[in-house]
Amino acid sequence: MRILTLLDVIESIRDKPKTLFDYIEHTYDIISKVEDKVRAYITLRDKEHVLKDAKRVYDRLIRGSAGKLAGTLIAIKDNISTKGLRTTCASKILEDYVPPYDATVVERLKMEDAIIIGKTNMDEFAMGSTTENSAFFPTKNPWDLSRVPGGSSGGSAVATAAFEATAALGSDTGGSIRAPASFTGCVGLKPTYGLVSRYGLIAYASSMDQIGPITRTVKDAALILDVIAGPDLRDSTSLDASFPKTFLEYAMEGSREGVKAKLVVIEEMVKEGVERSIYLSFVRTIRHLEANELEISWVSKPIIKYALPAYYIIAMAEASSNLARYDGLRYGLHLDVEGRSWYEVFAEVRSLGFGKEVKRRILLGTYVLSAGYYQAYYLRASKVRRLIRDALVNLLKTYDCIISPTMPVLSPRLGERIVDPLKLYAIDVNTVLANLAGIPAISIPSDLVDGLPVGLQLMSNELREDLLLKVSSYIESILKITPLIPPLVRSYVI
Amino acid sequence: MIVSINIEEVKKWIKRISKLALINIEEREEDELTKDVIKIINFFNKLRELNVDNVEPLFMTPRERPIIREDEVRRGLTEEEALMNVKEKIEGYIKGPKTV
Repeated sequence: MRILTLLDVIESIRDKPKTLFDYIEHTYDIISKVEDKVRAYITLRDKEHVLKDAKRVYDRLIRGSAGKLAGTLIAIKDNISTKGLRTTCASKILEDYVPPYDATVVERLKMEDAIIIGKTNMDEFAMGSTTENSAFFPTKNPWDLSRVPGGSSGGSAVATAAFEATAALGSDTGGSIRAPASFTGCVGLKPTYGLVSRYGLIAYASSMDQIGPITRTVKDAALILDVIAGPDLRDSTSLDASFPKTFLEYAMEGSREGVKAKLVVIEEMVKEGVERSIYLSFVRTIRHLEANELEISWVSKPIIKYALPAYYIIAMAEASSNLARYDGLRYGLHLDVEGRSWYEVFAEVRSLGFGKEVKRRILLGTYVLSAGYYQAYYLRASKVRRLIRDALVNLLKTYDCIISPTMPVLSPRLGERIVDPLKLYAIDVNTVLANLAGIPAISIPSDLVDGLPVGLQLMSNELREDLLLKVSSYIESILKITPLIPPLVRSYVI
Repeated sequence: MIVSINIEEVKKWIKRISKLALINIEEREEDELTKDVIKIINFFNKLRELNVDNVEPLFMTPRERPIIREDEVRRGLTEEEALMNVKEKIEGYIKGPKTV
């Protein structure tokens, strides 16, 4: 049997618990061969420590008391707190920070006997779409090492795509799960705002941040979501939502029985600024879906054109407030305070600790919130946010899912986008909508163009993850290209 | 919509804002930052095309039933855990710079 997905791993370990140790050896073997090339991890746990955890899981497997994810190796984005394991946000200001507690999502993974393998690279404080903004090093795309993997959860996507972990958690404020999933050939799911607790997630823009899975298949994403979703007394924005079945069951139903769904394309998401090769691939995918009983309509929603500036104003405003806490006293980069004023010390810590993009966003965020500009920028953007949410939520009363290319371009070359902030922001054009509206969105691999993965994005109405997973799992079964394996690791995996 | 922005004006507000945000801008960073900020502000100004006079702002997606816990004492972090990342501490206190 080929072991290519999270479900495969779980099944083979359940069948024969001893497999767990071979699986760990095999994963570390792949890491030793590819990690130098792709650099997905900021902190990789020692194999010996992981094997010790595995021994405990093995004992529970033998006793029949092991959890749903028993023994699986999961990578965690480095802005999600892990007790006793360094959590840097890819920033110099948190370079040596060790959290004294686990994020709720990490606690829940451990409860189900998953094993955390390491902490993955990202754009500093999740600000970026390429993973080039890491203060430490850029992560590279395993499909083409001269290209970016997308971001900001680039390390999580690459660890999953290159078989250095079997699944990963990322965070998504404006597309940070879906962008790297799309560029690396993974599935990336951003849940409804509040479905997953943010307790222990280091905040960027709190009204839009959401944790979600990056996996190789829709079913794997559904299973991880089953484990991490649910209300949390430590996050007052978390939701007490109940679904009659598990997310995995919805995904299974979708691939087994199909679903007659009504899909809609918003013209503005497909035409302006979308590379021709991406557009053509999208049209091919759509034809394929239509031939399989999925009904597809096209509509125009001109308000969508204002989403990107509205998103960046709101994200920067919230970031400037959230990042005010970094002063080097309680944690992080520290300077000698003796005989110096608080202003001098705090300003120096922040100037040395934050990178260029982070400083730029804090400054612009402070500006759009400052007296005299608040109404022209932050308030206006929040009104546009209402119009966008209303437009999407209403459209999703008529249709089951909105579909589009996840990214308007093929994975850019390293250095290509980062030189110009507006060119960098432009590639988030289709992903920011779901965060502004608070609705769930998923990116699934739909094609390979010039040897590079291309993602299809589906959005459903809030708390309709049941429908989203059913439809995307059905589409995955029609397109038949997952799990995708980059040529770089193919010989090690098969 | 491109609103004309005076470079010297922008340099002045970057100075003022960087003080508020507690970030020192080095002289060598100033020109590039100014150029980028002008570009980004112009990008933000696209929103001025829209009439949003009668629209209620949306700051968070609405919550029907917020998750609220009872206000009761629970065991949190120990003092040792809470201070484990502090570099300078004296008898359970964090040493900070002079504020007055």
